[in-house]
Parts: sequence; structure tokens; C-alpha cells
Amino acid sequence: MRKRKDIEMSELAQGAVQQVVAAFLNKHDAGLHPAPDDELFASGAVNSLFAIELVGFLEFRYGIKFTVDDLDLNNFASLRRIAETVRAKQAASAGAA
Amino acid sequence: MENLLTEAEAGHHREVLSSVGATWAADSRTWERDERLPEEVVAWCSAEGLLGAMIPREYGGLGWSAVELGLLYEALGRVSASLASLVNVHGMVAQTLVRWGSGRQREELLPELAAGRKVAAVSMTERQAGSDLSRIETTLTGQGSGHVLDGTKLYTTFGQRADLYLVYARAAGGPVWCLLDRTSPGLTISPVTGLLGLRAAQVARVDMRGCPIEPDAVVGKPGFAQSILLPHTLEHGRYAVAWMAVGMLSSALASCSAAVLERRAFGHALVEYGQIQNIVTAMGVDLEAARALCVQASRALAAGDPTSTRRVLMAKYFACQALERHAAQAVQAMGARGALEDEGASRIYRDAKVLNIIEGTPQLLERLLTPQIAREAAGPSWDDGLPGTGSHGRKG
Repeated sequence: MRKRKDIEMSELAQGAVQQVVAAFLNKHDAGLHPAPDDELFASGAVNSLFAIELVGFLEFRYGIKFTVDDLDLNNFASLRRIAETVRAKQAASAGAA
Repeated sequence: MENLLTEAEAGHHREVLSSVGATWAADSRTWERDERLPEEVVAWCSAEGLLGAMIPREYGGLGWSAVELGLLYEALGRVSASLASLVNVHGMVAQTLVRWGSGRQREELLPELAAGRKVAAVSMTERQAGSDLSRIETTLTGQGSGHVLDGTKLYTTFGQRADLYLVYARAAGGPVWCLLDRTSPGLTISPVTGLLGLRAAQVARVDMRGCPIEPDAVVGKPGFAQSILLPHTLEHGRYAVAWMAVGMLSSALASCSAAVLERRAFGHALVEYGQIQNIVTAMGVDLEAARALCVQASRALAAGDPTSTRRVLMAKYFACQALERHAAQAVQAMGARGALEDEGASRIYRDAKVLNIIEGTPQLLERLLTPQIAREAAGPSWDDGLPGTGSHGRKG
């Protein structure tokens, strides 16, 4: 079982990822201020050229590499889901290292 | 350009230039006339490993870096845009599989592509779908192992020669990339001839009537082809075409320069006239600018920098338009000699127009780039309806 402290750390880290992604979205489109659970792709807020830059940004910023197995809309649906996906990828690559 | 490259990169460039140039520079003239790239050229590319230049070593490729690959396209472009296009379309398929293929697709297909045992081509464009690929009508339908492809793709570069096609199709969960083998039942390949340029690129029309497709022939997952896979496929193509254009412009400048240095009129060498100086200087400076944009795109790609997508778009946008403008001027400055096929500039002039159509027209690239350029330039205050009040607009 995970310790309470670990869980808090993890929540903090996820919040930080959400902030970084929100800032990136906002730089792309100053009108974009999504809440953590707002739909990004389904709402059309994020277009196709931007989707590829977002994937590139996440890989670059967090030192991860998405593969075909990560291609699931749920993984990128909202700021919260993106942060969870990034953290899971980081944990997996740390475990593999 | 050597000032933009490391010593090792410059050495690599000299090597590919001499290898490609020494082998094919003389023959390339006949390829366009015959509207076909001889099989010995494809075999040479395979033997040299060039069809695997963009594929990692673990799959039998050369695993070249972005800049090394770019310099290959530049060297190929100097000799023949058609030859460069063979490596490009094959590379687009390889790149898509390297990045988004399943483990099985990568293990089974990449070694075949790297060794040139299979030549791959991309089938995207249709009668009603070019820049706007959301309009494609080719479908992948069925259930389980009973899927079939139906539709017609026009203008598949090297479609006459390919063994494997990456086909963009509509499916239940959104568009998909789908692998189609040349031996598939229901597949008809017809040559498209009489093209303005890239005449040796063996363009084909691809007709699919109930071509059976195994479930593992779909690359990526439905719903991601348009937003993630297609941009990666096209990024390779745009990067290749940008570098190719730099090589072609360099050849046009060489032909034009030799002619204006040699030819005399009204008592002087042509190069001494202001009108000719205008042509040659603009060509030389734009060539340097195009090289710088291409190297910048290479560096961004190598670093995994997320701005690489737009840097590639910018390089393609500038290099291809500069090429078209200057190829026309090169022919002009050379006079009747410029119109001769063997003098080099006329073919570049024809191919230049085609390069501004394939892998994204300037009009499409503007559509993609403008929002990003404008929003960033206007700064964060754009949101408040105060464009131009970003960092550059402050007083003081």
C-alpha cells in the first residue's frame, strides 16, 4: 500500500503537469483556459496541427516517448487525464531503467 | 552551407554528394524522357542502404540523424527530384512505422524496407481530397478479419513500382492508415503519364475494389490518423522536399552561373549587367536562407524540440517557393540554352512547380502556420483584443 506522503507528492506532481500543459495550451491559443476536466479534443479546442505539437511537447518536456499503445483518446481527453498519462509513462520508464 | 554543419556532417555531405553524383548525374537526364527510374537505380539505392537511411539500425537501417538524412535528400535533389522522391515516399512509410507501428509491424516490415526488398509508397490524394484529407472517400469496412478497402487514389508517387502501399482510408472509428500489399486481390495499378514534372517518379492511380485487409494491417489506432499519424508521415515528406528543393536550387544556381560567366553580349560578360546580377544575387542569398531554415529544422528534429513541426513547415514553405521563383529566373538568364533539357535548368523549372504541390501547397502551409505565427507575434494580450501589445509593443 502506498504511503500517504507518496500520494500527496503524486497529486502535487500531477497538479504541476496540469499547470505546465495549461500554459502550453494558452501559449498556442490565448483564448484557451480549460479546467482540469474539460474535454480538449472532443470540443474541437485542440486542432490537428496542435495535437502533434502537444505530443512533441510532452515527450520533450517530460523525457517520455509515446507509442501506439498510448493512442487512446482517454489518455489525452483533459488536462487531468494528460497529467495522469504523463506520470504513468514516467513511472513506467523509471521502472524500466 | 558548411558553416552551418559540424565537420562530420560536412564530410557526410561530401560523401553522399560524390556517391550519388558520380553514379547518376549523367543518366538522370534519360529517366525523365523515359518517364521511369530504371530498376538498377532502385537496386543501387537498396545496396547503398539509402532506402533504410531513416530506419534505426536495430531494424537493419542506417539510422541516420535528421541532418544526415536532410543532406542525403539535398544530394539526391541536385541529381534528380524523381530519384529523391523514391527515397522520400518510401521514407514516409518507414517513418510512420518506426514511430507508430505495432511491435509486429516494425519487426516484420522495417527490415524489408531497410534492405529495399520492399519499396513503399503513400496513397492519400483522391479526386475530391488533396489538401483537405477529411474529404477522402476510400473506405475500410467490415468486422474482425473480414475488412476490405474500397476506393481510388490518384497520384501515388512511385505507385507503379511500389510493393507496399500506405493507404489513407475512412473507417468506423475515424480515418486510418492501412498497409496494402501489391499482390492483394482487387488492386489495380495504372500509370499516370504526361506530368509537368517529376516525370520519372512513376506516378500511379491506385484502384481498390474489395481488397481484403487483415486487422494488423492498420497502423496506429482509429481516431488518431488525422491528428497524430498523418502529421508525422507528412513531416518526413515536407522535410525531405524542403532539402530536395535546396539541392535543386543549388543545381539551378550552378547552371545559371556557369552560363552568365561565359556568355557575352553588347561588349561584356552577362554577369557584369545589373539585371543579371539581380537574378544571381537573389538566387544565391535565398539559397543560403533556405539552407539555414533546413538546418534549423534538422536541429529541432534531432533535439525532439516540439517546435520542429512548424520549423519543417517553414523550411518547406520557403525553400520550394524560392526554388520555383529562381528556377524560372535561371532559365531566363540562360536564354535558349536554359530551355535545353541537357543544360539542367529546364527540368528543375518543371519540377519546382510540382514541389509546390506535393506534401503541402503554400496555401495549405499558410493555413497551418498563420494562426501560430500571428498568435505568438501578437503576444499574450491578443486575448484581450489588443494585438501588437505584446513584448515588442511596449513603449520605453
